[in-house]
Amino acid sequence: MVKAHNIGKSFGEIHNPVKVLTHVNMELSSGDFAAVQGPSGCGKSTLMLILGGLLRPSEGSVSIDDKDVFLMGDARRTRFRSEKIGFIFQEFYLVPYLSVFENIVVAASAIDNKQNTEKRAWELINRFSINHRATLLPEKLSTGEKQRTALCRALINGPSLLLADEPTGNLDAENASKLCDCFDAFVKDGGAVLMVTHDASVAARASRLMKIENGTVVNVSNRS
Amino acid sequence: MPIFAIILKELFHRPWQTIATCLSVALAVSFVIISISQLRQFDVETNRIILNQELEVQKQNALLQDEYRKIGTQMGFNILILPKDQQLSDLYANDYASHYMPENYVDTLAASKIVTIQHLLPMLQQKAIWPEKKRTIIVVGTRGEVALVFGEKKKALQDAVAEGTAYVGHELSSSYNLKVGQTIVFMGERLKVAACYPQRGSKDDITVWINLGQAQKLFKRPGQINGILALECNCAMAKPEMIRKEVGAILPGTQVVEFASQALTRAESRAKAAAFADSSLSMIKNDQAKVRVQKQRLLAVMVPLVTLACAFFAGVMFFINARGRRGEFGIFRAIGFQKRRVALLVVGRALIIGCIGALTGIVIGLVYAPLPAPAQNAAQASTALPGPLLLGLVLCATPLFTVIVAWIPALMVMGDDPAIIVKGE
Repeated sequence: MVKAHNIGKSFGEIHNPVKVLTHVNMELSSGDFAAVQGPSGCGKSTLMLILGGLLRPSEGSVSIDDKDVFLMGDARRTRFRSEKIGFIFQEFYLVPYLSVFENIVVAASAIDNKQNTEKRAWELINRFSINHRATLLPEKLSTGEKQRTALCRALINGPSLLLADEPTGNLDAENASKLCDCFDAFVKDGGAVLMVTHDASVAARASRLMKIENGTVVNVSNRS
Repeated sequence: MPIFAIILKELFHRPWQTIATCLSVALAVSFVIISISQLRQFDVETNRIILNQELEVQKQNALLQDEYRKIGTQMGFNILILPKDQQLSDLYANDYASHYMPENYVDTLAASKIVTIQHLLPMLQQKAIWPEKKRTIIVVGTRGEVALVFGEKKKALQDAVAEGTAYVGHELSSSYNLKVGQTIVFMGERLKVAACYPQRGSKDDITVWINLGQAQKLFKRPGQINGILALECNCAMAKPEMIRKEVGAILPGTQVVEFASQALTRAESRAKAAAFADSSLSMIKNDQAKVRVQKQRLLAVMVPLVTLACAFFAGVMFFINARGRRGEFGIFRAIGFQKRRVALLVVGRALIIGCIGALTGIVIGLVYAPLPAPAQNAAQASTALPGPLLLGLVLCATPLFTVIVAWIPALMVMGDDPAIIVKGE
């Protein structure tokens, strides 16, 4: 499903660049739930953004469903991203003036995906038990509800890959566990999850653990 | 979810930003509306002043014309047509013309289309000794006024003297205690006194008017006259040179003398007063035009200045709004909004603010524009308000302008890297 080949990423000046990622290779298939761990600044989030087609790598390539993401034009890649990938961030990034329901459906309207949008949104809202909060603005929600809203938004277009950057960073253990349950369910339905996290207990829920140090993958361990 | 709905929700979510930006747009629009209205109001007021002044001048001119006519009529004839070879020095020395011309000259003149003179009175005038009284008098033989064939019929200034009758001047009638109906004898002719004139303080007081035919017979001048009295027409073209030109063309063997008098001077001074009134009107027009140019120049500076200041403020507000929403735009990009769609969130917002600001500004402008006008001219002030075409233009141009102002923030948003934004860097 996702193949990253020899990814490298540098920031800063041309003559004196700061190398964040070097020679990263990885593959994620349907049903994979991978956790990425590593010290702060090691390049975990950068890798996630590159895999999501949001950040162009300095070298290497990323293909999703055998399509090279960075060979696409910006408009096509944007559409491709919204169809194939769901994002979840630590800060949730909910639109403050849209209700829970609107925050979810707005992701569908981004690609003019009007087919059964409302029905699917309500299914997700009910599934993640935020139906009693559907009309409220994000500021009225608890952090757990915010993260579940963000998850609904990530799932509204039926993606095959979920990219989560510290999704439990602002959640308590109970909500973190619930979120991981959701990831499990998504994986069981044939999706793939790549989660960047510092939390060892959350990382333990993943079927594969990747450790990054100094911009390169140093260890990959698979769990049954 | 429609973009329009997202924009509206954002506008309501940040009400103070929305209100402040709308008000800056409304301020610019209302300033434009009020400025245009002020200029138009000034024009309406100027037209009203000038119209009133023109009416007043016309009224005064009409009064002066009428007065001039009355003065002219009271003064009597002021044009004397004489034979061409008559020396004026002799005329003034002897009180009568010593040269003669055919009586039918007056008929020729009356039959012509002359316009510069009216009231033609042929006469044969002589200074003579009244043999029966042994004193010098002036005798005027006249047949009464000859009506102009093509002219307007007017009441005669001098009545015709019937044969066998005489009109007597005041000095003569009082000297001999003459009364109307009495009979006098002049050069053997018996004449019945038909009228005794009141004192005029001129040679008329020692004058006897008799029938022209009788006078020609008495002075042995059959078919001859030595003067035609006339009244200058009360029209613009009736200048002495014009009268001379016109009379000379009809009666080549004549000359024209215009009498000067205090009344004439007075009439002239009044005509000058009328001319002064006309020039005052021109001065008012010029002054008003100068004030208008000054106002126009001031507004030509102020309107762009205020508009630019408001546009700058609106631009800053758009920039602050776009900058404060970078995270929001980043997530929109991450979830699949195309760059142009995100830019549309900024530009569409500016468009809606432009529409609201324009409408508010027009309402404020229409309400406040008539206020500086004096209360009595409120109706005029309301007519000076901009018409629907101009208002429509303002309503269309303002949102376009706000869109242009919001273009830079929109470009900034389009240029933002969503990866950097969602990473929180």
